[in-house]
Amino acid sequence: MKPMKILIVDDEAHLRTLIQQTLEELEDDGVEILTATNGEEALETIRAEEPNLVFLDVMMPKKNGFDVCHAVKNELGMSHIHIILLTAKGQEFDRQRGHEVGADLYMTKPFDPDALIAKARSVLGLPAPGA
Amino acid sequence: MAPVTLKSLLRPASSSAAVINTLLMAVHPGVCIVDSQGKPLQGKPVEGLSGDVRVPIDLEGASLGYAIGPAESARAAASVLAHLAARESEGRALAAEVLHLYREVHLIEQLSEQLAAVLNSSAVAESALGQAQRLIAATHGSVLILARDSGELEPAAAFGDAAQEADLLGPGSPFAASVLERSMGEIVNNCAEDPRALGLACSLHALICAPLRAGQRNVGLIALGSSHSNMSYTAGDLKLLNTIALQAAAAIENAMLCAEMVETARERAAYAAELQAASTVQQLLLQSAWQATPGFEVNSVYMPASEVGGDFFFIAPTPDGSITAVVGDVSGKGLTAAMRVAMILGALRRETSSDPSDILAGLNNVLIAQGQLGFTTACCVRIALSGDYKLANAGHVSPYLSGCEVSTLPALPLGLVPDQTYDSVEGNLSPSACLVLLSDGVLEARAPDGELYGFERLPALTLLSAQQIADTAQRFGQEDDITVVTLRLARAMQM
Repeated sequence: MKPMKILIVDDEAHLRTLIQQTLEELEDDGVEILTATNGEEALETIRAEEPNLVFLDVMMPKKNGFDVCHAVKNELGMSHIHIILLTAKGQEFDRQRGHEVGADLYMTKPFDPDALIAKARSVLGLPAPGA
Repeated sequence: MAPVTLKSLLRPASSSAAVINTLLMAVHPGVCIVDSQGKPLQGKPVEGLSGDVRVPIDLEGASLGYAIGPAESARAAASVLAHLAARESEGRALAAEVLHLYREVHLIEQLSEQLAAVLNSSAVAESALGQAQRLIAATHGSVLILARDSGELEPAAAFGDAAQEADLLGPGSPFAASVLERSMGEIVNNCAEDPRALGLACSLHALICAPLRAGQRNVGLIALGSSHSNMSYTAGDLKLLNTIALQAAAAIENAMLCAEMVETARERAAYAAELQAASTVQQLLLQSAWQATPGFEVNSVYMPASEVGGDFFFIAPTPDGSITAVVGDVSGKGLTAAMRVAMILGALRRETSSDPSDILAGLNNVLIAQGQLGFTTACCVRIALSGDYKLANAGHVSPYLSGCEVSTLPALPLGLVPDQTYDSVEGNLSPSACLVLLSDGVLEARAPDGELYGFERLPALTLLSAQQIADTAQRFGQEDDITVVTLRLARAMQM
């Protein structure tokens, strides 16, 4: 069976660490956690690994999160990949933009760790711990 | 938080993986890394190689595994891996701390949203305690609220077997008392050794309390406790509990104010309904106070300043064909005044004398006997078919006869001194004349600029009809009840 994968895309190392650490309990369920540090690297990883879920930062060098999301959903034929935009930008305009490029959800930083892990479990179809 | 392992350090996605690989290639390709169980993680150990050593890789006193290989290379690899593991451990601890703060921020935000949506003290207490339980480890907890009327602490929410721990978490807790007295939160990490807990039955080991402060006032307190012997609350826990307490206190204060406003609105609605009912009753009573008066033209206008008035009038024929008219004003407002008016009208209806002095004296004794507070002014006149009249006045505005004030003898209002007498004056109402009885609401009408209607205007005003007199005073600026009664001989009788 193909392992489930989550890709974390953020140009800031400490935020990648925080998200990774939040999601690391999923490794016990066989979920592989991948990381990318910019938009181009993210697209390469998505093409190569076809993750089930992507936590995608918006403001990044080389290619921003809106462009990556648009490419995945509309150009790569990978609209089944669940994309959650995770950004410090909280304006309604940005939320609208995220919706337009096909993002499945828009979460703001600082993120709620419990909401993040719950969403990941929900997308991957994993039960809550102890359930 | 998952512990740091050599496996996690050597994972391709790990930030340390590239450094470790480069190092191992540089120091000696024959160095092998195994975990604490001896399972190879990097390279393969070769059994029996002379000169190979097994160097432990330690983190905080525990062995993560070993670097196996030539002595110098193995020691170098073990040293670097131990250093990287220590850095990774510090980074993970820091990340865990940040994630904990993220959780706190979001839980407090959730609490704010929850509290904004409830207007009930108990619901606020439940929400606050639930959120405190999520953020701070505890086996027991309670929220106590100070009752506004009694000032006593009352339980509003609890978890764990709070009833069993009532000595420490209930309204009688010595810790609750001292927290409220000092208006400061407190940590007690060994309850059994605290002198305040002497003689109290409790299984709690640690306790943390914070007052619920709204402005400068305590509205209650929130307390958490743990029966685990290794539990120690920290200053950070107290800050967190204080933050929750501040939000909960403001919400409880709002809920209490809201409850008071609802209660006040209910009382006002009930009072308004009572006033409306009293107004209806009063209108009916006043209507019945005007009986048919053959031989006389009687007009009356009654304009209460609010739902029910303190003015009254009474007009009744007597067996000899004359009429008796009374206009008066009771002190006070609202339902009390309305009740007194009802009682006065009943007394006037039962009165057998038609003499004004006797009527006022009788009414005075009725009011004194009732022990009514306040006083009543009244002017009473009896007019015969011949136009002869007799008039007595108990502190009321004097009547006007064809625009001239009728002099009356001074007397105290009714209801103040028992057995008062009220001397009368006599005169004649000519066929063209009109006698006007009125209340002080006419002359005390006040214009927006503060000017009183006053006595000076009354002679001219009292030449008008009852309705015109009342309307003029009302337009000028009604401040009190307005009552006007005009009496004249009927035209048929004048012929």
